[in-house]
Amino acid sequence: MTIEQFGGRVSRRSVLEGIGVGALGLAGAALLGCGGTKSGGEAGGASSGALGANQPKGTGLPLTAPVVQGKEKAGGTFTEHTTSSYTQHDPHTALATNIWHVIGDKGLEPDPQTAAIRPHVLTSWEVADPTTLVFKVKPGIKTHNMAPWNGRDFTAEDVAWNLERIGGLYAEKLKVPAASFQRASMVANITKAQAVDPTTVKVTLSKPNSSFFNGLMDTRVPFAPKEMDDIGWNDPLKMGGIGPFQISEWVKDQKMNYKKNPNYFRPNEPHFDNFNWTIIPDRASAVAAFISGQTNMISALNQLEIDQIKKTKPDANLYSWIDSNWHHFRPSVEYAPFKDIRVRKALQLAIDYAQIMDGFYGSGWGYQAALNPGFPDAWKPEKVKSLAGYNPDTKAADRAEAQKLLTAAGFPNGKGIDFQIIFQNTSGTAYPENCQRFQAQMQQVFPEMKIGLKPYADNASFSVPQAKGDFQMVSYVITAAPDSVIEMQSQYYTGGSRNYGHFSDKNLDALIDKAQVELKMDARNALMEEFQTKFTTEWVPMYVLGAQPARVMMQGNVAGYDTTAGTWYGYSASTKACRWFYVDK
Amino acid sequence: MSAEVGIGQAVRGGGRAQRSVGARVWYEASKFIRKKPLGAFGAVVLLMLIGMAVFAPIITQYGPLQQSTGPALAGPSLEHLAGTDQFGRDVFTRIVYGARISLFISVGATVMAIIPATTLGMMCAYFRGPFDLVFQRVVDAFQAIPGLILLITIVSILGSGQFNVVLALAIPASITGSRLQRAASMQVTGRDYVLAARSLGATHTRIIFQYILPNIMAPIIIVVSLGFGGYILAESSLSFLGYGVPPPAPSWGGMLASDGRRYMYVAPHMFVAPAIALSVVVFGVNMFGDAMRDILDPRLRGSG
Amino acid sequence: MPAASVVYAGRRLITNGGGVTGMAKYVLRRLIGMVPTWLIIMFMVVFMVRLIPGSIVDLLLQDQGGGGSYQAGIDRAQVEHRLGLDQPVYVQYVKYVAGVAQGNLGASLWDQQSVVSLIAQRVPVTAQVALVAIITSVFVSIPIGVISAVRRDSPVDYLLRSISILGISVPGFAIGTAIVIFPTLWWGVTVSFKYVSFAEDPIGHLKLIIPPAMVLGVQLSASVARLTRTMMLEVLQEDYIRTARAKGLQEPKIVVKHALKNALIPVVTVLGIQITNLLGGSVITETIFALPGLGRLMVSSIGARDYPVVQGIVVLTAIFVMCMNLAVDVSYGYLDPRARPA
Repeated sequence: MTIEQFGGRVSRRSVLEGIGVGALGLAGAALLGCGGTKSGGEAGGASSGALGANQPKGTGLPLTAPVVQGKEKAGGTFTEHTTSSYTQHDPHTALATNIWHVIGDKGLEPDPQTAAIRPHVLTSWEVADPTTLVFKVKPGIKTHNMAPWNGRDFTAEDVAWNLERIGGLYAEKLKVPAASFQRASMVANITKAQAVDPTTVKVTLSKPNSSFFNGLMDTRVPFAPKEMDDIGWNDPLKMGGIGPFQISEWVKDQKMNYKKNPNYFRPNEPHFDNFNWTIIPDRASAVAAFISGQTNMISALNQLEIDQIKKTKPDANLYSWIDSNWHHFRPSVEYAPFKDIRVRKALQLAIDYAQIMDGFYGSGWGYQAALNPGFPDAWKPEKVKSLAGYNPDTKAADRAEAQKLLTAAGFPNGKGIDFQIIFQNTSGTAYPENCQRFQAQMQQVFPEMKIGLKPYADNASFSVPQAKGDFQMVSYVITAAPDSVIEMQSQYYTGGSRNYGHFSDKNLDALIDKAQVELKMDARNALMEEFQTKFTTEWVPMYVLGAQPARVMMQGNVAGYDTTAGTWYGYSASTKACRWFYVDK
Repeated sequence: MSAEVGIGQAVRGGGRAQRSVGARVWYEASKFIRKKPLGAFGAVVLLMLIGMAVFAPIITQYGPLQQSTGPALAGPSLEHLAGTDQFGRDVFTRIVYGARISLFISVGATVMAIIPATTLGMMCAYFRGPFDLVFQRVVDAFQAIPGLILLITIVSILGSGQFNVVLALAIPASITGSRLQRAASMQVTGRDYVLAARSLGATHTRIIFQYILPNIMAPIIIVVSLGFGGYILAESSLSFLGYGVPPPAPSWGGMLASDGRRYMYVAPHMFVAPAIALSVVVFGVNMFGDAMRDILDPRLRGSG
Repeated sequence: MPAASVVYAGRRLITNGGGVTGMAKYVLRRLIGMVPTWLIIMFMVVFMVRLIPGSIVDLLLQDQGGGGSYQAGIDRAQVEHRLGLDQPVYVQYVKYVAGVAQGNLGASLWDQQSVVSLIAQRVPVTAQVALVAIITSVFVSIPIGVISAVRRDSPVDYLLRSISILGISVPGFAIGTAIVIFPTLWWGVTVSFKYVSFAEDPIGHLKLIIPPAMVLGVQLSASVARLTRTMMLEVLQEDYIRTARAKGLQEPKIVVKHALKNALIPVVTVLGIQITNLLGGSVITETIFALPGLGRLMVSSIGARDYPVVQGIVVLTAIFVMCMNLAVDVSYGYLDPRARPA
């Protein structure tokens, strides 16, 4: 990730490399294992990489990203589906996907598989001194040709405005609570950003922040033109950005259509003329829509849907990888038994992770301890699988050990432990199934333990007890932030924004504090290694079931997805629609 | 008039009154089957439902929540008459135990609705005046709000759970159902015997429960038997939207709407089995209700 | 809702010919009576949605839970104040009623779109589906009900009754799912999910409306057929029918000309009541068939805790239903001379 770029100025060579890669427009050309150029690459066409049966369990799939061959057919309309139209249109305060993923663009881009930083709107990024960062903005970026911008240049002033806004510095001015700026942690410690000249931005920090560059790669911090606060964030039809597509039609729950931005700063992109969204709230109907050819892409597939689609549409291509979403059961340390590390450790040893994740996903998921395996500094699934508790071969011994721990803690066979798991009872999600499997497992291993399930019918009613910490255990799935320190800080730091279980350990906090200001990569990696070790031995603040698989299918005549497939391609699998194109089939 | 309501017409006539109770029951039953075969089918279905609920542990060999009884998502076989679900639970077992939930919901909602509905209806008809006026506006309000929305809102407020679903189903039904009971009661309040009782100084409570109530039993029975099946269907619609009986309980609506639909592509038996159970029971219950109504409604007696 | 159709109209109609002024007075009385009902409805909906656990503020701040911002009074208070949710509920109620009286239904809490424009966008779709459902079911179910009644307790009656009861025994979403999924499984084709308005593509638009209308129509037909049968049976017992028969009139003529007209009256009343059920049923069909209608908006607004939208939908639907019922009762008076209002 940040290996070369920290600890000093960026070399001229890497700057040029950055520009060069960007200019080719085929940023995926150097992908490992897949060959993503239009002319060469592996023989492709049909989906490669068998799902599941022969893969060692829980080690995740290697990336499956078939290259589609064929003569490009420029233009066309690409249709994707979503379950409802977006309700929030301000990307820096929005909770979820919003139109800026399509009409906006980010400062920096991750390599989808390795998470290495690649230039995008920002062509270079350097640490001038520990609390000063300098960025260069790509010249010649134009905003969409619509009022009031009319294609004006997007400059360092816009970038500076975005950085300050993302960091929540305008909260008071805009009369919006600082907490609304959900991604402020991506640019933590920012005190000022200013445009030194039209292509240079200088950022001042209150303390060093080793996560800043990674943070800018998060899908949820795209840049917008600086007039947007005056225009307001309520009407999508008034929104213009610098992205590959611009808004063409918007009617809530009816139409979300975009058209090609002819002045997009990446040459030869986008290829499609139109990028349209069909709104289909029901999952079964969405699968039917893909099979009948009404949509060109479908994501978040489970094994059964894949099998069905392959039967009726054999030429569709499957892309799969380990996702940055990870499933977990989070205990609250406010519930007395969970304060005891022995109890926490006992449960960790007793859970059969494979049974739960295999049960819902079949294959393709990956073992995870503290950090999602997509992070370069994270333990890979094979390593996690070899540890006690995770290792399927030692399960019996681990469970015996768990019994001993519980007895030592005063809860023989789980007697005296009585808790409820809260979860969101939305059909099609993993929560109800994860909970039922977990409950059955624990009841089998600790017959006197009492576990109840408390479902909530919708997100709003579920978010109240979770956010308040008003639970004994919660079942949830979380998307990893693009930087390991940001991730660990939000989840486990005392008072961390996602630390719903209120876990608190001085040593953990101290470790994170150190890592956050450690600008030397090797040292930082060493700290994260220490973190991961202590996570599974001394702290055990969370039961991570695993990283889920991401599976996307595209219609057979769509090419280019292989260059964008991978863990770090975003929150929403469609943010790189500019790189895909139709081929003659 | 109302004294003649009921199946007991056979009591008239000399010779017949001498028959034993058993023979009389058998006679009435066979007459019922002959005259109303669909209703008889419905009665059989109802009996089977009750039987399944009561004898569930005897009929089935697994537990309804027991996982890994066999390979997951397997189709029907000798060991698993309706196949297994994604956890390896036996679908047939869950269908049988689901009868308990269906009964609990429909009986529970019916009882919890009919008692307030009848009481309020009788009170409105008897007391009239401002109480009646205001309450009728409340009934209007409940009727004008879309039912499903009311249900979703109530379940959201109360939280998920079997009992809360019953409560949510019962509340609107009790309010709107009072209108029917009020209309029926109004036909009785004007009668001579009620006026006579009043003039003799009987208390209001006594009049309501001793004079009015027995004479509106027919509409009560009709409403009960017609509404019974609807509660089961309503629960399945709630399950579809995520507000029904929560997992892992084997409610037919939940099995159909969430698990069944999700695994329909690979394991259609998970969808078909609860669909058949649900439809047959609702069909039977409706038929039975129709037959009861045909028999009990005095306005429908006559030719045929 | 329970499938029991209201067999008795249950309305307080006094049989007493009052003429035109009587009718006008009746309508006026009913309209005045609607106002308290309407106030009660608004009270119910304003109160109830705020009782649901979790508000938009909780949603907006949910990612900041552990950090304490969630609890931090300042942030919550600021958002609540901006959205007008910090006042006591009865104050919000009064403000809302005042607003509605002036025709202002407020704006969505999420993106400030006017509730009126939002609803106006969605009503046509739901209304069209409902209309097609009603029309088809009327044409199908009334003949079924009549035949069933005339041939009471015959095999034809049993068959027709079985079919129509089946219509209300199978859950709507099961029928809808079958319509969408099975053609996909068998032939790889299915209904279209891309919404087009009537203006853009009339044929395409109609193709979108018909499948959900069929699903709703099946359920509606069942209820109406049953009710028609019951009413016909009742009417066929009446004295004037017996007189007509004694006078030697042909049976079909009796059935259609005399019996049917009178039997249909409560059926029309019940249709009015079923309109609210149609809105509930449309939630399911709109979800499965991806139609941007009112039902789906209602459910998604409840999930998003978008109070003004939920309130607006309930209020407008309620007015519509009450006016429809009034219209039905007025026409009741014209159709049945015995039932003119006092």
